[in-house]
Amino acid sequence: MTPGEFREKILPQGRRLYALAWRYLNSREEAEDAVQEVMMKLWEERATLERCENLEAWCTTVTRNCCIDIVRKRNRVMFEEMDKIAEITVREDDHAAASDNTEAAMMISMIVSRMKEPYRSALILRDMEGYSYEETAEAMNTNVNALRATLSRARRVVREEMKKIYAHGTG
Amino acid sequence: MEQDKVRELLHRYYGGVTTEKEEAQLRELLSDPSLLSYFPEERHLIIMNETVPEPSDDFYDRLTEITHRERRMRPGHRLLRHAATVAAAAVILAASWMLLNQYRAQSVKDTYTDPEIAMAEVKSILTDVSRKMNTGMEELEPMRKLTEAPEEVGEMSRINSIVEDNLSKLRYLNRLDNGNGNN
Amino acid sequence: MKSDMKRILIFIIIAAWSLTALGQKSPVEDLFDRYNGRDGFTSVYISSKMFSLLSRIDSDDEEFRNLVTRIKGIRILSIDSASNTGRINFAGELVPKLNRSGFEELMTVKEQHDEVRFMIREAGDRIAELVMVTGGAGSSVVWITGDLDLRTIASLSGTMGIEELEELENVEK
Repeated sequence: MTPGEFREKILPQGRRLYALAWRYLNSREEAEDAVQEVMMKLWEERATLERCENLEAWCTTVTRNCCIDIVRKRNRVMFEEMDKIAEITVREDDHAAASDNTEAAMMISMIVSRMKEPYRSALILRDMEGYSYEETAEAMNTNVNALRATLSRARRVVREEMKKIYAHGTG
Repeated sequence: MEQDKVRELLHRYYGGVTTEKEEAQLRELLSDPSLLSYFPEERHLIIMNETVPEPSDDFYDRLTEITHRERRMRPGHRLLRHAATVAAAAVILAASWMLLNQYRAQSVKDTYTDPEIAMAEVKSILTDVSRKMNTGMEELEPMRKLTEAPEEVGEMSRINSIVEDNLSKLRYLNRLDNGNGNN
Repeated sequence: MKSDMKRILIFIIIAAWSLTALGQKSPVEDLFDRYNGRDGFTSVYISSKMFSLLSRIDSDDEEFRNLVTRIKGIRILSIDSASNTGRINFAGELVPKLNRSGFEELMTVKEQHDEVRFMIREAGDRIAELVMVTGGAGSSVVWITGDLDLRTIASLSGTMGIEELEELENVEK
């Protein structure tokens, strides 16, 4: 793949991959770094990219793997996140519904990012980033039926977790 | 009516059997606040795919910059390059050292510029060397006679062999004066 | 990758080693470089370039001309007898080093109070270098390189042979 082709076909995926990375990492900075890392990897391997049939799917897979790797390495302590949730809950009382959705979104992100694979990826790709079932299954290297079973379980977990937070926040 | 539809879709959604279209429809229905009020626990469904914060302004520039960079070396390659650098440095150092030596050697100037004078000097030097050499030969002469005289071998032979070993180069000298007045 | 690294390292070592070996100066050269131009020392240098000129000079002595043609260079270093460099002993400094670098002692000659050593380095069956080290007060080193013909050099100090020389000296005594 020529540098020109790379700029034309791969670079425009940056925005999409950034959003995906953000879902895993919950941090703008880290998501940007992750995408940059992915882009560098792809740039190095641009000679082999030509043989790739579905560039978009491949980029998704690479980004997903990269993010999972970062999360694993990050080794973030659970308490830190719990503190954040507590902080948000307190602020929720102050600002009432104004920033409700944003904060709820943050909580969902945190719940999802704390889930295990493949549940996390299934939710992020399909329910959060809106990839089709086929695309999601491909990126996760699985089939659609298995993905549906995974999603079913993941969705229930999110609902249960959110229920607990709402109960805590309002009660 | 719509509540029933939502209920049915939710059931399918949590069962993991909704189509993409049905999921879109479900979110569409729930985005109506009046309808959502019946399903407060499902509020996260319409928040889930909310947009993520925009990346920083220079994010896209940084990505473009990657494609202007030289192919980045992998750690292994980096080691290789490191080794290559060391090798190159060693070669350059050694080469410059040799050049310096050569320069120093060249910096020794000929003592004579006139070949005639040089010739005379060479002759004088060689003659001096020759004279000293011959003085040496002269001293060695009695020994040479012994080694050359088989009839006198006897008990002297052992000593002679030692002498011969120690002055192995005698043979060379003997050879060079063989045709030169050896009677 | 590891084996590559190893190969490169070995290459560096060999390259460095061979370069230093190539760049290594002979002990004689080293000695000349050390004392050249210093006060109290006199040096003479006749280069191969000069010898190529000398070979063109007409000479009635064909044998001498042949000898000169095959010499590549002559260097002489001597201590001026008036100088107070008495502690310097070329023989002591040079001979052990020469022994280590392929030179053989041809002979040692006692001349009055001085000891003259002849060291040669052979290349094949030819003599490539001759070093004559004179010890004592007028310590000097003569270094001749090329394809040396000892016989011709020996005959330079007279066409006479050794016995005749001996006779001559006896007469003088």
